[in-house]
Amino acid sequence: MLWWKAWMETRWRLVFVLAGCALLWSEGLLFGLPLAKLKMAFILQHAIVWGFAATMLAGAGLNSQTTWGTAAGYHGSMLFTLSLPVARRKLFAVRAGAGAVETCALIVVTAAPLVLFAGLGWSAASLYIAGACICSMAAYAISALFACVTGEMWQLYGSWGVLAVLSVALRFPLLARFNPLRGLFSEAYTSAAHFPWMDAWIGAALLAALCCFAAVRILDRKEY
Amino acid sequence: MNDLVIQTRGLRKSYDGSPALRGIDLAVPRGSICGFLGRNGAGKTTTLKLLLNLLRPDAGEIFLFGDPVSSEAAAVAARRRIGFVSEEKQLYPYMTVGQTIRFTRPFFPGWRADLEAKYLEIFQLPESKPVPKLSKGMRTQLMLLLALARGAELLILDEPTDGLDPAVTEDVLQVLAGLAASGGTSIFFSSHHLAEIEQIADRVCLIDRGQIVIDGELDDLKTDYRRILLVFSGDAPAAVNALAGVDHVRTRGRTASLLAHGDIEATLGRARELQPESVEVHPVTLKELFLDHVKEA
Repeated sequence: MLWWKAWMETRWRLVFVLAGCALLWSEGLLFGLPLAKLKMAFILQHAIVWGFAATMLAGAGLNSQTTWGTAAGYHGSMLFTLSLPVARRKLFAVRAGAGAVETCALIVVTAAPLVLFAGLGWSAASLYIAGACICSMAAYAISALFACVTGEMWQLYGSWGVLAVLSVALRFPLLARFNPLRGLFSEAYTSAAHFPWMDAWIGAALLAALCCFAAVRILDRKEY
Repeated sequence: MNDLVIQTRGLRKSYDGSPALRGIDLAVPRGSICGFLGRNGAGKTTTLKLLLNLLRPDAGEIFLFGDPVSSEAAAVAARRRIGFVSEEKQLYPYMTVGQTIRFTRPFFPGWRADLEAKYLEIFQLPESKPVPKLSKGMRTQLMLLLALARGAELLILDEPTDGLDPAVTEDVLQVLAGLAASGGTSIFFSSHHLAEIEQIADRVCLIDRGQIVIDGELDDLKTDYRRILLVFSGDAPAAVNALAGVDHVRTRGRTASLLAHGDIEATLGRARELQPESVEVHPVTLKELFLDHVKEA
């Protein structure tokens, strides 16, 4: 039932993000951009979309159900949720899991137009999916951590702030090596030979593990 | 310890260095209806949240159903036997009444379908109605249904009738009284409505400024406490303030009003030694007990 609840909480976010993606596709197709330019446009736009989508889908945790949230237009059902015989870690895991599944589904679904309309081959599309996974894993973990600490809006602002810092860090070779955003901003993006898979995966996995560890520690100690 | 559903020892809690609870010792026997009384900000909600492990105590111990609640696993196990109605009475706005019931049901193996049907009928809750379209009274009734149908051994209710109209309040109190009469379920409810507590509670716990100032059976309290009115020929002597067996003293000109408990005859004897012109003894109401303790603490 927790999975169903998580779906109920996130379904409109998913629709919103999907609508955003559809808007980007239609924009590219309507303006009839040359194929090469279209590919680049998709890639750059999707890099932004992944950051946005992952942070959106990682939200709606317990903090968005606080009483003050009621006044802000959200609902104050946090105490009801916490009074259920369910461990906090499980609540977090299910909520985070549901959003992660939706993010993965979104990545696969949005790869389809690249193949169907933009002429991206399957090989390049699979690189795109892997790159998007790396990028969104990092963005998602950052956002999930913020969702344990702050309310809805600050969770988004905070996540975007950290992602902005990570994207600036791409300019510095030392900081760029393990930067998970390299997965989508890199020009070597569609080339398996040049793409720094291992470094980006390690960077994203480490960041995600760190964020998850911090989120669990915060949840264990948090007072409601 | 096994006949107590709630027991706390020396429970302390501070917020940013400001003490909210200053060593709470609670003992709620199984099968009782205990009214947890106090002014706004006295520490009622903090205590309830500590019982549910939503807050962590700075010091002290909590036992629910005789078992210590010292870990998340223990708290989860205890919550399986507890029905909680929060002061906010907020549920998921994206669910209907029926969906909320179906969502809650699987968490409780002892869910009583008969009680669910019974309270759906008593409260006349339409299953297809979305939660945001329910009135506050209906939301309270839905939360009570969710708490009652799970077959809870203990109900923890935070201001259950707050914001409800008199008719719904009466319905809710009747349900609670009926539940206790049928046996098995203990009720610990916070309120600042004295009349409600007098109506259904058999035990009262009064908290003020983070400390328990009265704790006992309601009938015993009414028997133990007496108001002694002394009228003197001149101003009331300062010695009335030092009388043994007297909880609180209020003096106004020639009159001294004493709230005494315990051996009332002995206290009367000591009061008569001060040679008042007249002495009257009156029973006290819960309201008087409350006001005397919280106003002059």
